[in-house]
Amino acid sequence: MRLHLFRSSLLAATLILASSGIQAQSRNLDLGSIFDSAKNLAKSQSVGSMSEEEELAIGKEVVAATLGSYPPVRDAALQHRLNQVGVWIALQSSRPDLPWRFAAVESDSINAFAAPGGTILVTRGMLGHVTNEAELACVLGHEIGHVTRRHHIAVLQKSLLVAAGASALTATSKAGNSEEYRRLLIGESKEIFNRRLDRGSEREADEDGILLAARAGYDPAACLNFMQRLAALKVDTNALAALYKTHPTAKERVVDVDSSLGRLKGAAPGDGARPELSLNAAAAGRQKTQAR
Amino acid sequence: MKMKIILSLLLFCAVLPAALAQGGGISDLFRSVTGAIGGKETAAPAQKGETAVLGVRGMDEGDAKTSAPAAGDAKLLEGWAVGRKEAEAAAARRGLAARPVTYE
Repeated sequence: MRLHLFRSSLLAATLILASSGIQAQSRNLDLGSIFDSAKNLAKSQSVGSMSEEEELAIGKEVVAATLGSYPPVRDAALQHRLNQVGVWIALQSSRPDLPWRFAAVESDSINAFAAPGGTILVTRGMLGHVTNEAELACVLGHEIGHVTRRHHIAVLQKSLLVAAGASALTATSKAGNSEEYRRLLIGESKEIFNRRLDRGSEREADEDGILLAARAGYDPAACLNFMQRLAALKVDTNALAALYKTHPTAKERVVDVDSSLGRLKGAAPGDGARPELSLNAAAAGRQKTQAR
Repeated sequence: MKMKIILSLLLFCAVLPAALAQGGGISDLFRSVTGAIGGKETAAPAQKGETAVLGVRGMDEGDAKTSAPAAGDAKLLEGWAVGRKEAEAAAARRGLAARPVTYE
């Protein structure tokens, strides 16, 4: 009965949105606001309902696909150390019990990725640009924020429900066919990661990065220093292309990070550790970058 | 067959406003509908001069097309995993201590 009601309400909502969209087009109304309403509807009905098990399963496949293009750096000592730092920061988050995994991957791009379920990948290029462990904490904390807030899952589900009109599919998944639902989400993820997350999500993740680094005992001002250094790089640098396609520019983020630092309670900028970065790949990445 | 026609109409109605709102045009609209019905992936073609990314933000679509999922590499990550106690001990060795920090 509940399933029937859920399916019916979603179906009705979809049809209402569809018809209102057609009318809006003919009356020259703001279709963007209707689209936003549909996204909000999808968010309210789906994001919280995905189980952690489903989230982990999606993440596992996304990570395997990613590593097919960007293999992990073959340095067990480095990867182990990266995990020690990453897990320590993740322990300060709202989801400390996720199976957190961190890995450095072979790429000269300055970037880091978060996959649903708690796997964070950091490029060798990124490791070459952080100058101490506190800055690395900010980068990892930002990605951890995306995972804890389920930003990517939310975008995937919105996309499924809104762009594909998948009300029936959502209802199907609730009937127990989660394998089919997962398959659809993974398929959809190939398109959705093409788009940047909205500025609000990136701002939230930046705030989380600062907060988690500070909670973990690092100097939160390191987040600002790192962002300022990124902002000073030439925008057309190849290594930054992917980062700027998916994130706001570093100059925009410097303003946001500076504002967030001013709101911290319990740790002031300058208050905290900035341990030396003990990752061999960082030095290797830096040498590679300087050589170019 | 009857169900398929009904589903097609339903999906068409559902996708129209989104497609129009995104400025994707009729081709994107039909791609979404036919993809949804056929159960096929509906990845949009990359626009000229734009780097398409796949799977994880920032990945180049060209790279992804030529690669297969690396289940073996994914297992490597498990071998490098660290538990809570080890992470806490490593942090303590570096003089780090957790502290309560919030935003005002």
